Amino acid sequence: MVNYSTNTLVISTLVLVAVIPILVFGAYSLDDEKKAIERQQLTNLREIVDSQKDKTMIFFNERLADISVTSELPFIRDNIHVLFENDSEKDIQTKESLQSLFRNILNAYNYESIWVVDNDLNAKLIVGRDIADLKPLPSPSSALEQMKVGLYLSDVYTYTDDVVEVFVSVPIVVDDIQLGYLIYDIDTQLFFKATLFELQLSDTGETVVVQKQNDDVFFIKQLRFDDARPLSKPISTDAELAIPALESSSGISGFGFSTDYRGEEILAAWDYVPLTRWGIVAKIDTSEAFASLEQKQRDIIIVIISLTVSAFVAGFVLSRIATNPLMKIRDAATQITKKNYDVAINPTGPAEQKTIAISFNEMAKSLKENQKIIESQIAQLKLTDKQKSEFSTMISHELKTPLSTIIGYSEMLKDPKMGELNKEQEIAIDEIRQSSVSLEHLIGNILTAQKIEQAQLSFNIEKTSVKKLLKQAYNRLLPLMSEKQIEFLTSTEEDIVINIDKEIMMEVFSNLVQNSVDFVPASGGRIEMTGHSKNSDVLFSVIDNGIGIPKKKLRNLFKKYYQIDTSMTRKHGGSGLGLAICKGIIEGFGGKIWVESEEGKRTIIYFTIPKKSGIK
Amino acid sequence: MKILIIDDNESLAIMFSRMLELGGHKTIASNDGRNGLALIQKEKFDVIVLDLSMPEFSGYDILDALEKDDMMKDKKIIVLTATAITQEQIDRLKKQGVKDVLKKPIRPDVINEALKNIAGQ
Repeated sequence: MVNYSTNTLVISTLVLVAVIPILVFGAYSLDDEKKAIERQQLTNLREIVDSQKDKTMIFFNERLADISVTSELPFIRDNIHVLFENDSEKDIQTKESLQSLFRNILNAYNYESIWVVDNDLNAKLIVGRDIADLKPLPSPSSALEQMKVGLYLSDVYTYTDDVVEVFVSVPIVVDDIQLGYLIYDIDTQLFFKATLFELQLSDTGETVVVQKQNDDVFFIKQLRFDDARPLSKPISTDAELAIPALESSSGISGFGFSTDYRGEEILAAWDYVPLTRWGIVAKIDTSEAFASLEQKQRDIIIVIISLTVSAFVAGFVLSRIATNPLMKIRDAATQITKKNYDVAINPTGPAEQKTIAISFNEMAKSLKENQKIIESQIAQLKLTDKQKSEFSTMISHELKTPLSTIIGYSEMLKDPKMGELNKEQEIAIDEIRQSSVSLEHLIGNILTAQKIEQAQLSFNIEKTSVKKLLKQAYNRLLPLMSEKQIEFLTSTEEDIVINIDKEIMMEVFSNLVQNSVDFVPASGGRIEMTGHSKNSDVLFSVIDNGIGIPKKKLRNLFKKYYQIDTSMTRKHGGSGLGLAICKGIIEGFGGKIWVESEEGKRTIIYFTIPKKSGIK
Repeated sequence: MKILIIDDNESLAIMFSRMLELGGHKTIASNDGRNGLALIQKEKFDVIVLDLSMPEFSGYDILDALEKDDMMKDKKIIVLTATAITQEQIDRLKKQGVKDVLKKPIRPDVINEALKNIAGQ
């Protein structure tokens, strides 16, 4: 059985009613919100990637156009061959003019350097940085090797001081003969700055630009969250990191949830720029993207907590309101249990509670009246019972006095000094005497039974030997045997000592032996009283070879007023009290009594008395 | 022996008288406590047979009165009782000087045995 209080019930119900809808609503709403944010963020990121891609395309297409135009400028077209020829006065002047022109172009377009090289990549003209500063990774020769195909945009390279560059080259052809290359060097950092690639629009937002060189993928723009220089180390391809960077560098575009180079969870969009062979990734950390969602989640949790608290308070108050009258009734009921019936409950509060209080008060009042009646009736009954009992005791005593006279005279009549009796008179006197003795026995039993019932039996405990006890019983009961031809015996051992009331024990033996006498056959009867030591008890028995007791009657044998055969009452004059009295006495001494019987053969009544018996 | 019988039941007193007379004793019967006490104080009896439970003036009252007047020493008293009596009560009676306590109903052989014992003392 589950035990719960009204308090718990009301509070938990309120909490459930308040919190479950919020939880369900919150879960749906958060899910929707998340999807919306995801959609919006991805759209934004894709727009950024598209725009950066466009800017890159536009910028580098312009640079390709610039160089194409520059190489076709008439002065350059007509004089560039000078750079590949031997020195002369006029050539030096032309060279200086070319140098000056290229310097102007460099300044005008913010190029890092402009080179003119021959077909073996030997520098013929250098404006800006020295070609020798180009880092050998990848080797300049292999880099320049790529430029031989015409107007060309190179991979990204770096100088020894880690400045990262892209080269635009075009072959120099004079009179259908290729003399060498014109190479423009573009500083990527300047490009990224100029096109706002570096602009960080949020706390974690970033545009990553990568390029695949041979089998490695490098980032070519300084990372926001890593100090490593661009091109200094390839992006690890075995870890599941920077997947958008790897994919975009391989020409694959996409968008969605992913992981960046730090291992952070991100939302990203990415695309490939064929012109520069770059991958562009626009990304933002999910923690930032969904920050508003977390805020909302926190809001919902706060709402749930405050609702739970208010539900608790409301539940407590409500259950108090509901249970207070119940508590009053409970307290009042407890008082009634303690028989304090003057516990009127004040009928206040809502109508139902008033009704209950009024009904309860009426019930208490009615109980009080009933209790009074019951108590007076019990008192009356007790008195009646006592009077009855006293009356019965008195009657029994009163009967003894005339009985004394009857027994006295019937005994005296046997004395020849009273005059000779004829045979019939003698028989009549014997009958009177025997009936009187039966009546005496009967009165004795009634008195003893009443004493047992009222727990008033007093004992005169004295130390005696079992042998003496049985001898005394034998002498006392021997006259009973004259009724029939009965062999009467005792059996015991020497030296068993017992503490007992001898007179009371005489009553026990007298009852048991009287029963046996009633049930043994008229001739050949045998009755034996035994007493043997058994541990701390003495086990007594009265054995007869009488008619026995039917099995189904054994159970009720020791009940008051029970007779084996009701027709026996008249025949044997018993009151049916004998065995009940024996049981009462023996149990009073802390012993037990039981019977074994075989119908038609024998009956044995056993009883034990503790040797050091005290009264229970 | 000269025996005084005090018992409020007249027929019982008469029966006892007859019973004791059959045993060859001389008896006087009284069925009133005060009257019985007066007889004891006036005459000398070999044995007094006294019923304990009598109305108005009981056997106990007689014994108390005798004890008070220091007259118990030379009296040979047998008390009779119809009610159950405890060993304690018997002991107290014996301490007062009662020679024997017999329970009703009394059989001739029992009373004769008791008288024989007292005579032997």
